[in-house]
Amino acid sequence: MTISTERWLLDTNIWLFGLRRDETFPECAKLLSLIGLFSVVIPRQVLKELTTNFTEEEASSFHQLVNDFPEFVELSWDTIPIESVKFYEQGGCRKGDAIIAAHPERLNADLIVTENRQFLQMVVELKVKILTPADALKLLSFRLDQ
Amino acid sequence: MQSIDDLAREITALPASEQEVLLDRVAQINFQKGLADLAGKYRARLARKGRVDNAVEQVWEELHRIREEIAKRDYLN
Repeated sequence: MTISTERWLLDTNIWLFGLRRDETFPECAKLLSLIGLFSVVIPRQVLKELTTNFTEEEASSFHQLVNDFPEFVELSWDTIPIESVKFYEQGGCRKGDAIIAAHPERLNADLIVTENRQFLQMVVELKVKILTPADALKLLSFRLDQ
Repeated sequence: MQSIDDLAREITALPASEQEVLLDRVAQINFQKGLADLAGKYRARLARKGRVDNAVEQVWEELHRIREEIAKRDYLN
């Protein structure tokens, strides 16, 4: 069952801690294992960060996977207008986090999921919700129970 | 084990709505299989390089550094 209209932006840390199966952040792997119940949008900044962390072969596998399942994952290479980035920088975000914060509105994403505590605490005027993976899992569980 | 043809006949005998759910589920499982394969490769490489058990703080530091470097390249001003 897919919660069809939900488009979530998973921050880079969710992908990497999830793929590492990091024991400190077990919710990240759990959340990745539930992609399909919601769809994911990956903005340019996250794509570049993932590619930097992957080898060429890993990046190729990742892109192949994404290309094979466009119903679950959408890539966006679009840049965000600098004014939107500055808006979030002025709200206390570092530039990189500001870029992530500015994407959901542009990409019609419903929420951001991240473990980045600084990001979670610093964004005060974000127009979409930011959830930890633990909270995102609770939300999925709640919706599936309904 | 059923032949592909038998399986196809069994699936096409299902109501359209159930076929849709089934195909969606197959796609999800295939996607998850691909993701698990990627995770295996990624973890194996980190293990080979002795990085799989890096301190969380070290991983965060690296993630923040990469984020800011990319952001500054994409948005020079």
